[in-house]
Amino acid sequence: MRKKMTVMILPVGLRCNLACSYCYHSGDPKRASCSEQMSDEVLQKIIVDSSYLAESVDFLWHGGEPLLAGIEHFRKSLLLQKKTSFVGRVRNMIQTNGTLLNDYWCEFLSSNRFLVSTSIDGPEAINDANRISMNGKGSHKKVVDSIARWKQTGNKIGVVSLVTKDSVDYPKEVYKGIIASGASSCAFHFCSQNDDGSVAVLPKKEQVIEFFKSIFDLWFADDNPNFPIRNFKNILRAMFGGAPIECASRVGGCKGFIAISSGGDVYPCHRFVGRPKFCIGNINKKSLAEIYNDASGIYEKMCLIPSKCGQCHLIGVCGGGCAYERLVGGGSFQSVHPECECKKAICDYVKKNATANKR
Amino acid sequence: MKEKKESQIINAIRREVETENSRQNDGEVKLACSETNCSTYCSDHHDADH
Repeated sequence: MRKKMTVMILPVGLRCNLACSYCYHSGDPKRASCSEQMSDEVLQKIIVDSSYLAESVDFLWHGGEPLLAGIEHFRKSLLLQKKTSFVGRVRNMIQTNGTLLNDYWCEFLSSNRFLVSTSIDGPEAINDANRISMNGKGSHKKVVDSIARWKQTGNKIGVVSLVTKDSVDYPKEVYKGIIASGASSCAFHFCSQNDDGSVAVLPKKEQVIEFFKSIFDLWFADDNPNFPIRNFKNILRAMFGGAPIECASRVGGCKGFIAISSGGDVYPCHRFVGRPKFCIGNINKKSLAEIYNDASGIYEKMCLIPSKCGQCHLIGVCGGGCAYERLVGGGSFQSVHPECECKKAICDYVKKNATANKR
Repeated sequence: MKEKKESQIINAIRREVETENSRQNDGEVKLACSETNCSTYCSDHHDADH
């Protein structure tokens, strides 16, 4: 049994009420399906099986848009968690697009101590260039309202922000827009290529580097420790001997995750959901612990970093990067991460400019 | 000469790492902030959850 595990649950699979142009699931026909929903039987199996998988479990509710599963689904889940004996602690986290987070949801999630994160790409014009509903309407206003609503419960909220060709030339606007949204913390994601190469919003590498340099300068000048930006925090933590926060930046980080889609199909990570080749089992046929243990070969492959990375001075910060992105961007898990050069330039810039402040 | 002000960001992150390392040295379980995949920073919830 592992010490800790993050069990990612996709209660409605890839179903989503938004149609973001850069979504890595955009090519999947199931994304628009309006019927996909996890059954009570699958939910029960996940919760009970998780107690045999690890001592402490973080349930990370993901999607698609997990709130589409309805509040009753989450109520049942919490009841099952209470009935099940876990060795260590259990926590619930949710990654929502923020468009459905009304007072009712806020009260429910807050009173049950969920950690909530959402997505916003900057001010309205930048966010709504890509984060749109099925009928093309922007999501910015709803998300900002949801952030305010959630913060009224006394909780913090992190945001994920994607760097696209629509935002990359406007770092100041993006930074100010995210601060103005009320977010408590932020993580910028590189816009990555989809399997079919369909993403049309990829910025150029040189633009991305300049974007991150500008964002760092703005953040460092503000000097607000209560607004962490994960990309830079990872680098600064490494300077003091700490481990990076996110899975993708740690060698072996993939091993702490497993993802289950609505029908019970299990994947090493939510990024692989919908790719049958990477399905490692179904929870209706085997226990989660058996599936995880039987898939050790796949996890090993995902965690085996390219030899070039092993010699890199930034391996403690980057960890080789996300295995899924190495696969999609380079063709195999052994490929160097497609954003390697960007990451190096950003790391070196942050280290150089923060060094003057290191005690 | 005006004294250079220390960065609050740097100080906060250094303290966070030092706390984690000392807890680990004491045989305690390391803080769980390295286990989240989305932007739900566990480190934002240290006071409440640890």
